[in-house]
Amino acid sequence: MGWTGTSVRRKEDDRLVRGRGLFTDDELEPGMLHLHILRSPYAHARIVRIDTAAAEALPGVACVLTGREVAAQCEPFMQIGPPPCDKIRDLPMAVDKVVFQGEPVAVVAAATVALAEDAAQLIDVEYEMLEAVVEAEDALSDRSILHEAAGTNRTWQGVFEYGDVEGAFRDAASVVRIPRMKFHRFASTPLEPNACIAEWTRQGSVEFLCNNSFPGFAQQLLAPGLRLKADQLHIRTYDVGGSFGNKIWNYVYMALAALASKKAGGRRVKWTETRTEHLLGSGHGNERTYLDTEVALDRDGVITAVRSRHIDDCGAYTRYEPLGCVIWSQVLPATYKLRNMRIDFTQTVTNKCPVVPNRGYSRMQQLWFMERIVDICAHELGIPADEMRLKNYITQFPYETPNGCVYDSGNYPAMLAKGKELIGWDRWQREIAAGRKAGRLIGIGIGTTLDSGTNNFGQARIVNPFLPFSGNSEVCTMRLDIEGAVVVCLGTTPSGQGHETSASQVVADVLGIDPSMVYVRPGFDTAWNTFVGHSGTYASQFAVTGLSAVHGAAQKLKAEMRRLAAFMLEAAEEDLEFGTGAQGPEVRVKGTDKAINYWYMANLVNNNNAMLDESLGDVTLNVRHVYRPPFKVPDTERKFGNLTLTYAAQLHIAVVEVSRETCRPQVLAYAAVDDCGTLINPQIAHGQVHGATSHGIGAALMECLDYDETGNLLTATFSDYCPITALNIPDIAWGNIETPSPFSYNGAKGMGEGGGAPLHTMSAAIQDALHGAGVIVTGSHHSAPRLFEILQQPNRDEAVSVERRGGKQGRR
Amino acid sequence: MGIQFEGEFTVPVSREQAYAMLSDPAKFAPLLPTYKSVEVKDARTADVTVAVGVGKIKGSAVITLTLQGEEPPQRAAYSGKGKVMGSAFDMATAFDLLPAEGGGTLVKWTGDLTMFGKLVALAGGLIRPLAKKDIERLVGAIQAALTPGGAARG
Repeated sequence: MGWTGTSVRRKEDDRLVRGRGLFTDDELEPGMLHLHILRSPYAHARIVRIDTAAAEALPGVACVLTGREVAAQCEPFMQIGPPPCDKIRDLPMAVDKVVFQGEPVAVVAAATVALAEDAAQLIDVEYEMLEAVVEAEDALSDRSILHEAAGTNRTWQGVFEYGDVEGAFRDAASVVRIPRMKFHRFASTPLEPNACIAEWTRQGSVEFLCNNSFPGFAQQLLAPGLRLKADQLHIRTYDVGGSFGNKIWNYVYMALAALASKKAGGRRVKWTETRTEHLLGSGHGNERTYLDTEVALDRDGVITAVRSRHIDDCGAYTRYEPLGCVIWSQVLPATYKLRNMRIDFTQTVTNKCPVVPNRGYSRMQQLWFMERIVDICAHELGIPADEMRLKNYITQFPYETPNGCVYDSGNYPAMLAKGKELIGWDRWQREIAAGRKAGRLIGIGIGTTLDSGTNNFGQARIVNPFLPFSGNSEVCTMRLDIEGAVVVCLGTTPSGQGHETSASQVVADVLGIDPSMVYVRPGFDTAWNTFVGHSGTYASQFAVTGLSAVHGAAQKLKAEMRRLAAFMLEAAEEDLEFGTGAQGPEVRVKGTDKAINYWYMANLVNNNNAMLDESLGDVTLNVRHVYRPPFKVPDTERKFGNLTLTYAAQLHIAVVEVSRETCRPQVLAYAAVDDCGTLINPQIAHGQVHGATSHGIGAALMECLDYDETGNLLTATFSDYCPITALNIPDIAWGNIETPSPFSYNGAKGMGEGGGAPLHTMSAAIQDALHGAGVIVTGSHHSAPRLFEILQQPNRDEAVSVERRGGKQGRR
Repeated sequence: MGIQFEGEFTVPVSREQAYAMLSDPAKFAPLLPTYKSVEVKDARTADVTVAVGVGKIKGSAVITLTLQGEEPPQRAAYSGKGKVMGSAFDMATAFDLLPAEGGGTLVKWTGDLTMFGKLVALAGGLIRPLAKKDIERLVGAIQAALTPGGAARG
């Protein structure tokens, strides 16, 4: 284990910082066509008529496609959800009706991007406007239904109940009631928007260069959607500029580019999304409303039970949903030891952009909810926020949650202690007290959160028992190529996480060589035979699934090399050792100068095999390893089982001041403590923490996908959406602890999503700052205008109530 | 994005004269701010081309204006629909004509504009003040047109 735990410089950066990366939009060739998508200005409308004649007549236009043509050549995409989701006709383009602003209604493929856009302006579409529903609770009334065949906007409903909830409330020493809270809509806005190049070949297959981040899944949807066999889709990625889950469902746009290529006679068609298109039609994070929340506590302030109703708004199509209706339950009790919970969970469609898995997907909404509960209870019961957490944290690991998930390892009290030390907790307590005396709105807040990694896809069966999914897997293929180089192919789709570097470190450790001697191919390619249905980059799983696959493949390659070397060196396998000698990487007989280098071994197998013994006939120096985590299919009736393999944890602390003059929140200090088990590459982990923290701060203080009552997205440019930039990111004091996972070969836990920690932390700090002003923080977005509104109408009287029951002790 | 406006003004002409002008698309359309041209379809309908723009985003829009729900001589009302630069808008405007104290006609007007699409996305914050300005210009033009000796447009 020489390289694991070392901050090896990122191999990818050599090309990326020199401008030699290859992003999809970089690929250009003469004759390539460019696609422009005409999108609906309406959130909900019938398409009465489309006239494309003027666009088609424009010189340079190769073809125009409308929904009817698309529908004639496509099958609706498979829906994950149970009825009525199966009635949702999900095609890559609207046919008779649009259900969100930005939904494609036609595409133009033309010689240039500008020409395609101009031609699209000539397409005349007549709409008949329908009533739009933009609020989840309104949508559930079914007054205006998006997908008429489904008969309702409700796409999923289920009750998650564990323990003795009623008993815990009956015996509670106090009950805190919070009628309504809301987690807002935002997305992670990767630097590189969605893009793809499609070529429908004369042989009837489709070549894709794209930046899809879950091609194993995309292929399963696209192939039947395009009426092709899976093997007829050749999907490649190369450099990808961020995904955060947002690029999982760009397969919808890949289908449009493919169909345009088909109509244009097989010419390559490129589509690169604009930023406004990305905000309007690419995918948002889940928006969630929490109603009628009740919290039971014992007389020591230990939470004994929680019950609540949650309504999730998934936008206009279910697509990857309703997986979000179960994925949150990976972190059902968050970092807390309560055993009694009842969550009535409902999901609905609305006339807004569909949601996609967004960094911290579905879990951060639950973690924010639990953190708000903890903070509101602490404030209302007069318990300091740090003490409240220490009273309630889980402290024994592995820990089985009420719904059967197993938290592998952790030490939340130690993280809290480290966070307090990093931020200077005691000093800030004094400064905050002094500041408040001077009239300042200043507060300190803690956010403890989990980054559950490596999904058990069996949890999908909790939302739909008939789904043929379970477990998880990832692949690595590895070979000693003809020149003796170690060549590694991954099934993952790195988008900035440094997979080439981390994988090199793992291989280098197995073979006893330098990471620079390992070549990890950039990107993903179905032609490498290095993929399974789960392949891709999502759900914080590379450190476990990706690297376990790499480790397994390296062990297999090493075993073959050992057999080959033993034969050639006429030595026993146990007398051999791997390392680097005068002629590069080699296998040698311990304590001698007898050695065989990698080139010699590769040449033996590939060019010179008459020298080999028959017993080595199965040695190819070209291996494939599939890693499968040890999952079982969950109990779908009880909604019980281990839904994810590892649980990285984050603990953040922030000091925030809200300006009395402008209501602008300003971060005065920020500390982030991370525990992702054994660190593979500390520098990369640090970078991930920094990125996730920045994303979360942006989401909490600036970014919101705001719709008006007719379904217009009001924040469809970066001027209005206000993503966080280097100028807004505060200095972050970073620290980490390592509690190795007992469930991964290397002790690592998947990380990178960050569990939305800054959202919880900012809400907690602002709660602390404004509690004295009569404000209860019940929303996750804290821009200056929203803080202005809430300070105008302090809400404590209606936002929370506490029932204290004298004499009761509470039952845990 | 919905914007509602209302107001009133007095003109020194009879209700019948006011109604005659306000209920004729060919006479009413040229009063619209940034008016460029009108194509009268029939006595109730006209396609009006107007210049539109927010900052450097400039273009023209065709509004199909239909006289609808009128009650001579006390009410003239129009509905309109248009498209511009990847966006769409619906509008409704009504003029209630009442005898004014001291002679002339009191015009009580309402306007309802709903916009959808890219223009709202790109310039949503600017539209409300621009629309307010345009409404003020329209009201001014109507007043001028209904005032003998006032400046005529079109």
